[in-house]
Amino acid sequence: MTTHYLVLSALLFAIGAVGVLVRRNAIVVFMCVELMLNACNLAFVTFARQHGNLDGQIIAFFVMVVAAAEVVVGLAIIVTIFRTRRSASVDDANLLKY
Amino acid sequence: MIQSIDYAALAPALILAVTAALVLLLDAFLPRAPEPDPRAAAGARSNGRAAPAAVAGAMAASDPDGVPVKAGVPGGVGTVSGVPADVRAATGGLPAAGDADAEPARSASGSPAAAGLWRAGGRGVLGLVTLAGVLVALGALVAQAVSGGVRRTFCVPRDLVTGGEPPCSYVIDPFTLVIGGLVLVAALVVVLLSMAELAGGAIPVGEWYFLLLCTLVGAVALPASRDLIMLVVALELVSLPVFALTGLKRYDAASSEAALKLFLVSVVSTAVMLFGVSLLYGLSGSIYLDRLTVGPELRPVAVVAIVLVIAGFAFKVAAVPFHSWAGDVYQGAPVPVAALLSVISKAAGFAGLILLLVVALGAQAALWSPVVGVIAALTMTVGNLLALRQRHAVRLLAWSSVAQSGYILAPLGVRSEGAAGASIAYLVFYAAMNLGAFTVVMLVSRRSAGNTLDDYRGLAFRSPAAALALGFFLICLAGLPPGLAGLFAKVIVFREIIEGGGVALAIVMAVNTVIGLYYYVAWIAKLFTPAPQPAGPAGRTTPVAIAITVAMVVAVAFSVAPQAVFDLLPGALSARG
Repeated sequence: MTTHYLVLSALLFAIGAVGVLVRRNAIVVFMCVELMLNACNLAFVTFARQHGNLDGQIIAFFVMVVAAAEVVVGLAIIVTIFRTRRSASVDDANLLKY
Repeated sequence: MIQSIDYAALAPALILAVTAALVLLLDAFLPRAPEPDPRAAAGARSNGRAAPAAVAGAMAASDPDGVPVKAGVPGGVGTVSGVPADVRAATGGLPAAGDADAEPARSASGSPAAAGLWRAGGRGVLGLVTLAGVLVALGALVAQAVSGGVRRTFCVPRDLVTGGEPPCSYVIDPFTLVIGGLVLVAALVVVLLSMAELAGGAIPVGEWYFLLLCTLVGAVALPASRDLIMLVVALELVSLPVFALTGLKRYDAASSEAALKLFLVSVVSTAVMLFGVSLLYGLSGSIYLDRLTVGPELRPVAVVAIVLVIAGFAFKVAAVPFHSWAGDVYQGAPVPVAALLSVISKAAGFAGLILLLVVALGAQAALWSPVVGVIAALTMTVGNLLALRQRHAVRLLAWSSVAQSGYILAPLGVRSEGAAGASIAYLVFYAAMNLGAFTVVMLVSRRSAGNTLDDYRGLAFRSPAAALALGFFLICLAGLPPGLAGLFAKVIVFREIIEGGGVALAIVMAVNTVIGLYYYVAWIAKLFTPAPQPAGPAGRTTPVAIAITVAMVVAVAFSVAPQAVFDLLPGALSARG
């Protein structure tokens, strides 16, 4: 019964992971990370349903809080780099090299 | 049914959190100085001014328009909305210079002399408050260690548990105490380095110490966590403020680029780790580490979960193949943040990894130890090879600390009882040596901002004490005889690997130790090469000198009496229980 949800969660996670690897705009990369986090949430809630306890749902809440905090700090950093570079592409962040 | 909370167990984390709040309050009350950089007067158009404001946006309302403006409403970074406005209105006669920060266009006027006085006073106070908070937390930790025994809190009520002891979320045992002590002593040195770094004026002081203390709360709570939620939240509490700390420097493109790289890598690793954690929860139906059991029929899922979790932590400790951020981030970040990343953040990452692998999944060692072994071998090799070609001091230390991560991971790659103990022992020794090296690098970076290895030429003639200290720390890191701390640490890891039957891993490590000798000794040789060097302005170096002394004392103590650390370990070994 809960298998479908787990498959969906794995799919969402895979889509997010591929997005992180292929997209170049920092904000889009960041959105893909959020997709991965939400895939985790879906998995947690599904497993909570499967086991009949609430622990998984509680973790999902904490993951949401963590994701929100990451958004705050992350967007601030992206704005900073956009102000210095006029670009949010991760390829343009090439000041530091080997 | 009301659960009683053991506040004595929480004391170090609580003290740090209260200090963080105190720093934030003091920062709001102390008057602000005008921007030291004239570019700020040109308004928010220039590139760096809005950065710290944006970073601090979560906790500080920095929108001057949002607050009904009286004459003295501070809109500057780090002032908490509302509260300081009332306070300033009430106290009235604070210097006008403090308010100039609210609107940069007007900040050209103001009284620089008075502002400078206030600024110096405010800065000193915040640094000292932070230092005092860390010291008190360390005292609480020592009190816990002296009183002995294992403290547990946040436990499941006994009535709700069917059979056995109720699981607890927060446990103070020798493992927690060793990692917590390491973190707090390292924090002392990092705070001292921060004082010198902040004297430059390019970094907002209050935000810096607040974020630093937040990281420390996470790093102290993490080794005490015994459930998945605490573990994840504490790990995030360690990571999140560090992104902001990295990017807090104004007008610095390298700093914000380093912050972006660290941020993206870290959030991706968090997502990967969380998916692994969700699978672990799905497998066992429990969030408590001592209840994570995996049935034999679900072994393939367990393998996936363990690989995902290891991948997530490998990012945090900069292990190959997730190491590439280390060089860029260490180089771009302010030196104290690089020191924090390489010692405190790394110690927290290893604590989490050991908790999950050894404490929670100890029964599945057959599944994870080969993976960790391969990662360890790759990490030390790649780290050392990358370090060979570096010209930049901090970058060299970054790759060397990647290589050292490999040595720390190595005992976990063999199946032996004392593996976690050997890892922790190496971690403790590594923290002292590496932090020491960073203190001297900080001292040199005051004079020469480039901080390339050539800047160290002739250091022995300009400041013999610093050169001697750096030489000692590097010899320790290399593991040569005068620096016995490093040698002892390597020997204990070797012994553990051989006892566990990982001969191949031991050979890889031996070869790597030899490769490592090259770049450490080459650096030491530079110190004693005579070179005419124009001495630039050194800035404020007293705190750095104290930091070097602290690190030196610890490293020498470890070299003279390594047995003291080993005596702590039998307790740490029982982290399992």
